[in-house]
Amino acid sequence: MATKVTARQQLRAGSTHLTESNRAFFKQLLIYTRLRSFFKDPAEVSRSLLEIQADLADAQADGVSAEVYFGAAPASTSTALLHAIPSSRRATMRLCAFSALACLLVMLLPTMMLPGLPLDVGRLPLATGATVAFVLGLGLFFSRLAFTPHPRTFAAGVFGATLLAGLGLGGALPLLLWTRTPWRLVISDTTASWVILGLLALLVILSPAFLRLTGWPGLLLVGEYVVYAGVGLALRQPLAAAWLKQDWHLVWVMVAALIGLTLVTALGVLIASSRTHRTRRPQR
Amino acid sequence: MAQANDSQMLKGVLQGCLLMLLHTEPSYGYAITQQLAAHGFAAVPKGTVYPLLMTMAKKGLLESFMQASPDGPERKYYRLTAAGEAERTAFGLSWRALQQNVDEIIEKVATQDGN
Repeated sequence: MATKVTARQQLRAGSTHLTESNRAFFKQLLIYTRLRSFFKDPAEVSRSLLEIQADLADAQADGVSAEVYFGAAPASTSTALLHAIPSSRRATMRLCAFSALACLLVMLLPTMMLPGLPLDVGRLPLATGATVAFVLGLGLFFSRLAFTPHPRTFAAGVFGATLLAGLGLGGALPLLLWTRTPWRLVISDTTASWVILGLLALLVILSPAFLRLTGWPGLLLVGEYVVYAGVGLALRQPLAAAWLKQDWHLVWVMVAALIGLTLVTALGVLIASSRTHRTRRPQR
Repeated sequence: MAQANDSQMLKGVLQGCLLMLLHTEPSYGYAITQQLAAHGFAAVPKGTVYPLLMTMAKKGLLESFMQASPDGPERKYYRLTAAGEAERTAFGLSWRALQQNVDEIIEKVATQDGN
C-alpha cells in the first residue's frame, strides 16, 4: 500500500515537469495502461509508467515531444509493455475478492427487495464471475477511448458506455434475480429491514470514497442501490406496499428511477468529459 | 516494401543490439534509445524499447535496479545478467555467421549480374 501511494504521488509530481501537451499524452498512456492491467501487479505497472515518464521528461528537454518519442502506435506499444509485465496472482485474487464483495453488497439488497423471497446465496459465485467479466470489458472499452484524438468522439464514447453500463447493470440485476441455485436462506421481514438499513448506512459511509474513485459513473451504482433499498423498505410498510402492488406501480417506479439515474449520470459524464478534453491535443 | 523489410530485420536484431549496448555499462531507457540513434537506429520508435527491455528482464537476460540520477528522481537502470552475457555472446557468433553467409550470397549474385 505504501509503495502504491508513493508511486502514484511520484507520477503526479513527475507530470508537473511535463509541458501541457506532453502531460496530456502521458495521461492518455496512463489511462490506457491502467485500464488494461487488472491482472498485473499495480506496483510493477507504476514503476514502468514512472520509467517512461522520466524518459519523456528527458526527451522534452532535448526538444522531442512525447508523441514523437513514444511513437505513432502508443496503444499497441502499451499493450506490448503490459504483455511483458508478468501476471500477478495477488492482483487477480484482489479483483475477484473485490468483485465478490461488490456482488455481495449489491446483490444482497435487490434479493431482499421483495418480501418473502428466499435469499439465494448460490448466485454469489455466478455474479462474481459476471462482475469480473464486466469490469474487464469496461476497462478494455474505455482504454480504447484513451488515445481518441477528437474530444467529441471521446465524450460520445464515454456517454454511450455509461448508458450501456447503466442499462446493462439495471437489466442484469433483475436477470440475475431469476437465476435459481439450490443454496437458499429464508429471512424474516424484520431482519431484512434491519439488513437493508445497515446496507444503506454502509453506503453512506463508503459512497464518498467510491464516488471520488469512480466519479459520475459511480453515482449510477449508488443511486440504483438507494432505489432498491427504498423499494425494499417500502414493500415492508403496509400502506406503501399496498400502493406499489397495484397495477404496475412497482415496475414503473423502478423503471423511472433507473432511467432518470442513468440519464443524469450519463449527462454528468458527458459534461465532465467535454470539460476535460478541451485541452486535449488536436488531431495530427 | 524496403521499409517493411528493414522493420522485419530490425525486429530480429534489436534484442541483440540491446544486449551489446548493455554489456558496455548499465543504462536506462532514454539513454539506450539515444545510443541506438547514435548507431544508426534513429528510425526505431523509442516506445518499442520499453516492452523489449521488460521482455528481456522477464526472460532473465536483464535485471533492473533503481539508481539516483544527478538531475532528478531515481531512474530504472538495466544491466546484463549471467544469462544475458551468454545470450550476448551467442548473438555475436550467430550474427557474424549470418552476416558472412548473406555477404557471400550478395557477392555471388552481384558477380553473376556483373557477368
